[in-house]
Amino acid sequence: MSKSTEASDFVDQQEEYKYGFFSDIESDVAPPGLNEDIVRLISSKKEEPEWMLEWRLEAFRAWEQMNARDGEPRWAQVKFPPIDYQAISYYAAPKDKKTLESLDEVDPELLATFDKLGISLNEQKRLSGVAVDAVFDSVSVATTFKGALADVGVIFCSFSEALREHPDLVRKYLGTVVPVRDNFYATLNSAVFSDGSFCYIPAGVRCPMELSTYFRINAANTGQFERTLIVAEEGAHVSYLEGCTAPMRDENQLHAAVVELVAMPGANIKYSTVQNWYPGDKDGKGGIYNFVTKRGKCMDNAKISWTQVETGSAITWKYPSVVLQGDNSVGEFYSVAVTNNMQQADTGTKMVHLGKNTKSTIISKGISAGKAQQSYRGLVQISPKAENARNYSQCDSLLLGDKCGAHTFPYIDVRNASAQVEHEASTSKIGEDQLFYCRQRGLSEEDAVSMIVNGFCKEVFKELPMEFAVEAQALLGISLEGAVG
Amino acid sequence: MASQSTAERYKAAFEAQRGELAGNGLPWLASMRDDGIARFGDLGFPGKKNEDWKYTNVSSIAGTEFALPDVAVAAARRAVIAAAVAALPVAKREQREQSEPSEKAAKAEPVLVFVDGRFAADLCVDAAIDGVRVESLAALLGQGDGAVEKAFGQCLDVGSHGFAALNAAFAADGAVVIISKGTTAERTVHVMHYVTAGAASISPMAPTVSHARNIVVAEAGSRARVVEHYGGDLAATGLTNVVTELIIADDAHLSHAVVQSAPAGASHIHRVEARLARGSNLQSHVVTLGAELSRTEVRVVLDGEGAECTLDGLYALADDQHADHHTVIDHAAPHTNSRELYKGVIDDDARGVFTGRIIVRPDSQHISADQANRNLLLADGAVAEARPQLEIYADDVKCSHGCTVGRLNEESMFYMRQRGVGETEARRLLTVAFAGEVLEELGDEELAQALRKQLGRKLQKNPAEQQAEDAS
Repeated sequence: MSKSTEASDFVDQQEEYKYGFFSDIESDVAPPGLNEDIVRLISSKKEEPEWMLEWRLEAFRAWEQMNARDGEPRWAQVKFPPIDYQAISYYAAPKDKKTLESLDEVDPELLATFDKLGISLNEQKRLSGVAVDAVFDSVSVATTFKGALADVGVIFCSFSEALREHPDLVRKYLGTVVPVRDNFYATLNSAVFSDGSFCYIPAGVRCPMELSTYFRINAANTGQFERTLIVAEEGAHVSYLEGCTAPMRDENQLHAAVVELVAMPGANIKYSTVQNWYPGDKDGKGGIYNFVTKRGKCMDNAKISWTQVETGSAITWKYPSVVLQGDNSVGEFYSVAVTNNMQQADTGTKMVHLGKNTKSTIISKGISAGKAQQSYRGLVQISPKAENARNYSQCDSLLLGDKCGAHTFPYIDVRNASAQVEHEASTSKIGEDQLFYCRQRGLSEEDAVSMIVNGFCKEVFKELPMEFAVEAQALLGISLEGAVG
Repeated sequence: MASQSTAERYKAAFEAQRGELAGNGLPWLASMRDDGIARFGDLGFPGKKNEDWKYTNVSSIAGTEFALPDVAVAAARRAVIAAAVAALPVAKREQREQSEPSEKAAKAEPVLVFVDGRFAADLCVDAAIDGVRVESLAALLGQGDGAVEKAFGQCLDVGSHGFAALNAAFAADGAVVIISKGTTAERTVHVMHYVTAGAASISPMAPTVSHARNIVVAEAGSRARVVEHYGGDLAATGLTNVVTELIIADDAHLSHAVVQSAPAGASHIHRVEARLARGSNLQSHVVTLGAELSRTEVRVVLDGEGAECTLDGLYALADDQHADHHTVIDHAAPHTNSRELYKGVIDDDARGVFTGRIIVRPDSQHISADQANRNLLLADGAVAEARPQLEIYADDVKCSHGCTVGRLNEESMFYMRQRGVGETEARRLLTVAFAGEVLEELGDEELAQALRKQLGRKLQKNPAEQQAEDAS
């Protein structure tokens, strides 16, 4: 018995939240509340074209209807008090908002914040060859490696910038994957999204570097509503990395992001996430509400791959999905989710097979500890026209401690007889025999647990780009320190 | 909320009928019935927004004004029903016995027959088994029987949906099987529910509704097997809304089967609820072949340490049949095990839905639960929807579920064709073999054999089509 309690402590990375600090930069914050004026304010602050404002207003009206009719969705296996959407401020921008030419012009305090996060832009720029578009609160303050990307025609910039510089491209693709009225939080996002990233890979171009963005939530009480749009034209390849940390705050912060991926024929998009937002303290006080809509659309022969490592947030509500619209398209979902203490996560994926010979793979690994509750919720849908569709799903849960829960709710919906669909799920704790085997061979209990947990997650980690794989392993590693003995 | 009219309609029907329902004078039953109709008023029929009924649309049932079955019909159709009873696999066994009549009676298996939900004493096959009471619920309620009072409604969760609530309000007849302490019943108890299409000479052929309640009480240390058969007139279109309660005491073993071959136009809603005490064992089997719209729920609460259950199911669907199987296994006590296998064979434009939920309660440690759902799609219009679910709140568990949907293995087909077996025949052989795994688990070869035949007939397409296929 003692073993399982010791083991339960091992995912304690949230206990001493490494990234819990609050940098003191004056914010330009809109008054709390949500109405048409706020939507107009956001749009005008960002100097957006008229059609964008109309789009936002349409979304806002749809959201008002949804809110009045059903309120926020309650079907997920998570519990939280009702959110007062009028108490949230929907816009915050670092005050000093002039166009920056180089990193030297960036507020030193802001740079220091990034240093604490271990993502010094200077370091990144000089050493790693990764272009970083850092979103600090809601406005991008620095973008690097633009030149190198521009040479091959890749557009990688903040969403606001994209609206100014490439309005036609944005207009063409925005909302084509996640429509305005898609769901409660996506609609809210469509109305008030503040900023995000835009990425466009022209036809036949293989993006010369991995693209990454760090999202931060900073000023208290400002919900962050990111909008990301990635378009890979015919035959283009891109790998996109997203990672996040947030400062320690007591009040719950709402984060409702939307990510849209468009993979044109033969394109390949790989989207990786390490999510390590503040999960709240041991008693479940504070922490981020992470209600995200992520979806990709695959045309003929295209491929979209989602990889995620989810360790943070008080509540996660996230289902990165792929619509396999074109023939021979491929969708993948690899996920490791860790919940501890009072964290709740309801996460999974949707694979919607519309085209012929479409394939999808789902590998989901959940680790639940403390009093956390975690659910896998997924949909595999084979439409009547999707001849020879193929799906393989595997969802495994590891339980550490006797107070946590792990749940699995897959939906399998097959309407074509030529489909081959397989789903497997298992739930168990670390086997006494596995531990015994390792101990017998001279490994400490801590090392044994670490080894078993890493092995459990290996299938997903190996899908991560190099830097992220290291970060993800470290994340599990940190939590193992001092867990035993 | 039910639309005002539906709730009011059923409320009015309840008020009109309650005086005639068996056991009307019993105060404990009256309060249960009041509760049932009140709950139905709140719940109504499950709608599309009800996640548990997401794939099954019961608006056809909600929209129909069902008539009450006419008692006279049973008498008028006596010969037909008697033939159906004689055709049950159990009856055949008797005929084959070449022994003396007295011995024959000793080996015969009792069959309780209900027509349109009412006990038909004259159609039953009487065969006493020592230590087993086999009676009609209406009769026992009339006598104010203590054992029934204790068992009635013990397992049923009235508030779970409108059909359960309606059954609580209206149920007045059904089979009661009580296996007394320590008894091992060597012979199977059969229950036959027959639904008629009315009799033209007596009343117009309006769809009728019945709400039967079957109760099986397996007392401590007993062993028994109970098989429920559902069938009826080909033209019947009514609704059968049955609840079966299985109360299984310490160390008792019960094998329970539901064989549903309801008429092609009928609707069949069946809920089996079981509560298992310490060390007991339930083997549940569900075979669904009939009905246009059916929903079969098996809910098992493993309430005592060491309790075990096995749930097997087979659904073979064709034309535009819709069958929904919904199982819940609730591991409410530590050291409980469960195993579940549901298989579906879906042809034409039929639709098979499976939801299997395994719940492990907090502190229910040392649990093993294994669930599998396998679906075979035989035609392009066939649809399989599966939702295997695990809800685990304890850590020392080994739980798994697996689910597959696909068509017949092409290599197996090729092997058969290569050896000169026609495509239709190969398909039939492979499909029956696929289904066979579940039928073998029945533990009753005679019944399995009869079902295999029935399945084979169901898979047979019409001769012209078959010839065309073989020629191609």
